[in-house]
Amino acid sequence: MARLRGVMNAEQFKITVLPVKDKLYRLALRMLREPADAQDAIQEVLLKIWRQGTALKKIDNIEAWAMRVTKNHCLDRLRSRRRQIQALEPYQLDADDHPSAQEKLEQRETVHQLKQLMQRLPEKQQLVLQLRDVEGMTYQEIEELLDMPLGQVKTNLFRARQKMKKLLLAIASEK
Amino acid sequence: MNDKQLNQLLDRYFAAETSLEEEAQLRAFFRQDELPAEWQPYQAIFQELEQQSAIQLPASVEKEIMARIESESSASVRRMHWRPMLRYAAAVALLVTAVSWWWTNTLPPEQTTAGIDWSQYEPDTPEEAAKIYHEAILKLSTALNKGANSAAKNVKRVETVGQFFE
Repeated sequence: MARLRGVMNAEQFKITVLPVKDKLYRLALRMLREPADAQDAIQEVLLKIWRQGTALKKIDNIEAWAMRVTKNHCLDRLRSRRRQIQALEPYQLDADDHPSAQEKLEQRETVHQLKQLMQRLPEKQQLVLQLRDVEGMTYQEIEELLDMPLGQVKTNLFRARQKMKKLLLAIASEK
Repeated sequence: MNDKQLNQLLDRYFAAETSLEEEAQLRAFFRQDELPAEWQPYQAIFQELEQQSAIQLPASVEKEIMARIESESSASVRRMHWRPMLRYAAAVALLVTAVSWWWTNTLPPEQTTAGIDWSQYEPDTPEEAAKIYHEAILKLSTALNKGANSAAKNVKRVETVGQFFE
């Protein structure tokens, strides 16, 4: 996204910042999980960006910066909710998050099971998977956004994908 | 892409070794409607990821945000219109302050008017006083006579003009 010149007006905001709104929303939704909460968060984030005014001139990559603002804003919201986030604690990666046998029987649709699995992944794995496989971000971009070493980014992605594969193979063998 | 290549690519994908371009190839492949049975289980992953990437911020939320931004923007424009006028007002106020400061600090202190010594004009004797008085009355009388004559002359002129119109 181009670097902004001059004071931003509403029209420039529409052209420069608004195209990234869906990406920001998906990140907020992934972190906060509740659509209403994510929508409130995005509203606050976009207004915050708008109110930066001339300070936006100094930002080279508005999209990356907006993603970071969204991530931090969602973290603040989560903290204020006093919710425990395993994901953002450094280097804590895995948890026993496989669906139980009973759940497997109850879940008929493969996609539904996959969705369930993805929601059960540790927060870090969810975020890395989301940023790589949904948003198509490079490893470096993910590293910078999450303040996570490159090795950890790859490990989280590897584990998340392996769990998906394991689930799919289990479903296929049941059939 | 043949089966062998696809298998290798999938292996690399699950090992987190694929590039963004290779991942795009996989997404494109699994977008197909009819796939051989052996690949169908994997299709669910890419379908789910595609679905997630299609999630959008509801239009109502976007509309609300833009309404707030536009209202803040017009308020800011109104403030901008006042700014040049305020600048001029500030410049004038500064100029007035500077001039008044210069006036009070650079001009010499106000000089008091010296009192007139009237005693030097006082007559020394009653005769001298009478003489001054007499001269003053004479001067006044001359001035009054001059005024009366001039008035009489003008009245005469008016009368002459009046006769002409009769």
